[in-house]
Amino acid sequence: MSDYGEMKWSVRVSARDRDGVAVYARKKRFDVGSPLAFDVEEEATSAFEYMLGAIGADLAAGMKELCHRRRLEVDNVEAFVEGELDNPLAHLGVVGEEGHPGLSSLAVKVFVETLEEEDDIRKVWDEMLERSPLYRTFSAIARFDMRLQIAM
Amino acid sequence: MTKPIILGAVLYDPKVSVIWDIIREYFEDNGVPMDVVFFTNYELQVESLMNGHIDIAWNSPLAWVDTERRANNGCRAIAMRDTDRDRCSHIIVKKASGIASPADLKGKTIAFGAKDSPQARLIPIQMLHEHGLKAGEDYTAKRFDVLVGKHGDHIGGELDAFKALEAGEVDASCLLDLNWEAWTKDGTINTAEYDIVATTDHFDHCNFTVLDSFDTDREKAFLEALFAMDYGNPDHKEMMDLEGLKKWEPGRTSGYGPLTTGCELISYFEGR
Repeated sequence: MSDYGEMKWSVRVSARDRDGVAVYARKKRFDVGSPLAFDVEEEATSAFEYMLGAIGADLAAGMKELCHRRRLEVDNVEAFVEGELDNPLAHLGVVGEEGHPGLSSLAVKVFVETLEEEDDIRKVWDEMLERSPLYRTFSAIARFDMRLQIAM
Repeated sequence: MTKPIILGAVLYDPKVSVIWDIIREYFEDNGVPMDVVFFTNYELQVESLMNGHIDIAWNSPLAWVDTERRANNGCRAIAMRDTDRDRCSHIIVKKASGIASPADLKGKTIAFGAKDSPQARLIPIQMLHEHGLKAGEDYTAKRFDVLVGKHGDHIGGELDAFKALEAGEVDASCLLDLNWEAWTKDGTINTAEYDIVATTDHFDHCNFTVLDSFDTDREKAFLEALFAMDYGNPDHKEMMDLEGLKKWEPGRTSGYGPLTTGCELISYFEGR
């Protein structure tokens, strides 16, 4: 750990309401529903969906920001993130099921809209992955299929 | 606090848990506290019912027959969906095959659903036997064991059986009437190419099963809430649509004869 390793980030989570929880981060608040949503009609965003969103946001925002710093003009960056659990039935406590409800794989496609040279964009992509906190965390614990697609 | 009724249900897909969440809430709101326990297969569920770990089991027809056998008839089917009553299964063939009657299936290869599927294996076996075709002797059976233990709740086995027919790997395939209706409507099966060559007798499908020892007051409370579900009530309609019914009916056991016979013919429970 570096000398800066003691820097920490924190959120406060309150489950006062029956349906879901409120998360307070710095001076902001956002609401989270159940750990995992099986109902497409469920209104609240689940904790698992927030996690997928956080991974996509880390990559898309990281890519956009780093391209800007390298003076590469990018119109848009989009990430499509798909996560698979080892066995979602384990989360429901189904008697007799094997496995666990933890993450088993992640598939991420990142689309970059730009007129810049592909090689330049790919260099930034590699650097961004090196520097991405969430990519570095999740690629160590789950199968991580990453694809970059550059659209002119 | 009233002791919750513990209800068992088998899950083949996590999305099905959503239906049971809605049903559980409905019972809670109607003064009948309920806990739902999910099982990965019907054998475990029947075992739990027999051991008294659950009060009510949402049983497949085969799980009902199994419970009846293990409890020496000391159990009751207390309710079922309107759509559980008077179902039938079909055996279908390609029109161009020249197979025009059940007798023509002699010596042919028939695709069945999962080993434990009442509608796509055990009841068709009974029907074929009635037409003089014995399992293991008069035709070759090709089984599609998708999610064994879930008693054919998952349509995968029946669909794979039909695909084998489509590919010319078998001469006939078995499926539930509701799947025939759905797949001819959505284009999975083209009725210009396929025909029904045999249909089973009517049979009943799932039911809520209790042992005779289940407390009568708790059973009464459960049934009153269940039968109070009204398809005309918008608050109930979604729940009933998800569970595939328009009305809850009292349980009856007269519709399990073909399945019981099918199980006996192949000594199903002995060889399981």
